[in-house]
Amino acid sequence: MLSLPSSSAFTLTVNRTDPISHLVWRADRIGHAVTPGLPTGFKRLDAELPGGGWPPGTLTELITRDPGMGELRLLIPLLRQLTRSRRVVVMLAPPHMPYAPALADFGIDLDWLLMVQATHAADRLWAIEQTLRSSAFGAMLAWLPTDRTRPEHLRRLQLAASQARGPSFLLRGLPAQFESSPAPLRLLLQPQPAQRLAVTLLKRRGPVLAKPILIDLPQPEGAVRLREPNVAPTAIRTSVRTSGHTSHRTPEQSAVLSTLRHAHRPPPSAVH
Amino acid sequence: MWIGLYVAPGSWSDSLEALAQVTLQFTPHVTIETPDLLLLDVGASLQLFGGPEKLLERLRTECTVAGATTIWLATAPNPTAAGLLARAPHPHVAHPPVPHPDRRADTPAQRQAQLNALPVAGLSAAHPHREILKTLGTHTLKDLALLPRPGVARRFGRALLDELDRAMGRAIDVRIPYQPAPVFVARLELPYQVTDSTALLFGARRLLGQLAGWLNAGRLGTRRLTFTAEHDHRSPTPVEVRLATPSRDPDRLCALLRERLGRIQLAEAAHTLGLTCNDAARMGDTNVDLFASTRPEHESLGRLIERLHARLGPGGLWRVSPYPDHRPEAAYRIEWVEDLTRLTTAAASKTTRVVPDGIPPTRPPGLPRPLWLLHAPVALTERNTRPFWHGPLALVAGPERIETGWWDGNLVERDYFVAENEEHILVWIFRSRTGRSNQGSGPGTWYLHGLFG
Repeated sequence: MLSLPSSSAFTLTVNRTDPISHLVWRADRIGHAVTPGLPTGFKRLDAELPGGGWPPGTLTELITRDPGMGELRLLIPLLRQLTRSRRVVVMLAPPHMPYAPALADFGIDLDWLLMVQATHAADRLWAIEQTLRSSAFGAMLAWLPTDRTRPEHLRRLQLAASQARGPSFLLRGLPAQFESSPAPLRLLLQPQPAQRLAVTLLKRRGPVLAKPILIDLPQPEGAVRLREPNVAPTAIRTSVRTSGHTSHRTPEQSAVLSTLRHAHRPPPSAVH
Repeated sequence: MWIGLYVAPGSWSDSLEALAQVTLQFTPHVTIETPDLLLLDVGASLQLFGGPEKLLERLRTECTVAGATTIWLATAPNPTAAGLLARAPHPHVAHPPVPHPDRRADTPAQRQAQLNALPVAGLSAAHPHREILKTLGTHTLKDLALLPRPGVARRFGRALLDELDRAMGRAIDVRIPYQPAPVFVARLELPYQVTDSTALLFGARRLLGQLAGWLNAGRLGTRRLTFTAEHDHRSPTPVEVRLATPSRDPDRLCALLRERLGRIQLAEAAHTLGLTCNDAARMGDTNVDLFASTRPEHESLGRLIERLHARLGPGGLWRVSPYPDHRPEAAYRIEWVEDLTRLTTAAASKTTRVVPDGIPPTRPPGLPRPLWLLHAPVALTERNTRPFWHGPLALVAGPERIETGWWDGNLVERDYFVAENEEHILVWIFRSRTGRSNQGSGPGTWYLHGLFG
């Protein structure tokens, strides 16, 4: 009879001598990329992303119902960091005018934000591919044509993105979430109350994450803070008076209170 | 080291000067020896092009692209031997037009053997004496070298011995380099009438090889080129190519031209293609990297910009910057980006201006501004006295009254609010206070003007 070592000792030896264990990704763990990701600026999101941030050299899909639902504010910390370190951020075919005063309020160095206008779908895909191939950007945000994007286009773009050094984002509409895509990271974004964004990881190198991640969208520096719309202003004021200690407040109340203290203008009376 | 480049008869229609210009890409020292033979001193270029094999391969490719389909190449330490080797018939390969392998020798002994085996008839000084040499049984250079020198000098002249000595490397061998014309103008008669503009690319690539050599000889780079497609009945069609940074790389120029030609329709078939280089500037050489991967990012960015610019047109690339105006639609400026210098010089000049972190630009504190501004405000409907956009909108902050612009006819009288709909999308809306605003509707109408993104 063969004398095998006990199972626990056996696994120990395997772990110690196995030179490739770090190269094997097991599906129950979050994959770790060879090149670490760029921090997103949101700790809870970083913790769930393989590589701990936006992955460079691959496509990342951001899926929203319509443009303007929080996807740009999600990327603001990245854009701020890149443009301030003098890396070019390319915005390809933005759906509306990126508004310079707001971008500047967020601390983005607009000199390093390059917009590319490509009206025709073919031109746009070409421009995205050229940009990805050039790898001359800190980050790329591209709005894909909704009806003319086919899986082979995406595969081609993913291949081109592998040469890039910065993260590349494809911004797509809701139907895209049901299509297959070669992008290794796919995020569904849904706005939530109190300036939050629910980020659902549709696809990542790692176990399925059923619950969306809630993140607080960044606010421009120096601007008046916004208050919570669904809570009547009078009700909050009374709660301030009645609750003597801060410990009685819920976190939401505290947040609203802090925003109120920053508000310079009285709320309009004829709104509600 | 010298390369002999022999153009097989009938494989090059243009003058040999045009081909000499193409080869100037590889060395500044090119000599037009005879109407079918070029001699290139490439001793100083070997390192740059990565050794003799790669250099010969690239030379052959460039010549083929330029239209010289059958060329024979040979390397030798001196020009006479290179020429002799290049034009000598190859023993194992059929005569033209089949190209035969490049004649190269790895050791001096091999080269000597190659030279020894060459026919005497190849020497130009031996031309008048071909028959006599043949009857003497002197067929190869070795046979000639074995003959007594004084006798050869008396019978056939000093010139034959001199040429033999030069070929064998025993005498000084000097060639005067070819000087290209100070202005670059090249024309190419197309082999057939071209109606499709993209088909011009084939001819253009031939001209670009010449241009690249011409630029290289003067250590120049170009930032603007003009191709002209000449027609029978119309005035020529000009096609201009602009570059972000000076260049003399024919492939880069060709890639740009491809994008330009894709946007152009020829009104009539073209029979000739011309190329003039309007803007040649002195251009430094790029150093060869020790690690090939470290190509500077801004260089590839410049190329990206010029490629995008070539295809998408002048309005394809832009930047925005804030502008001190209270009217939201006038509070930014668009700056068209045409080349890299426009992008980097502005950004570089900014470094002198100190921008402290966290201080917003010169705008009074007010409501936050949206990240997206609609190109034109969209009128909103009203339900139950509330503005409606994908559901009723609840006002979150405001109003911020903006009432300005009387001086240029675009008077704005609006109350701006931040609003949120039932899907929690934050928007920037305003209520027009007058009917005189340029949107043309009456007072009290709600408009959507921005998305907070």
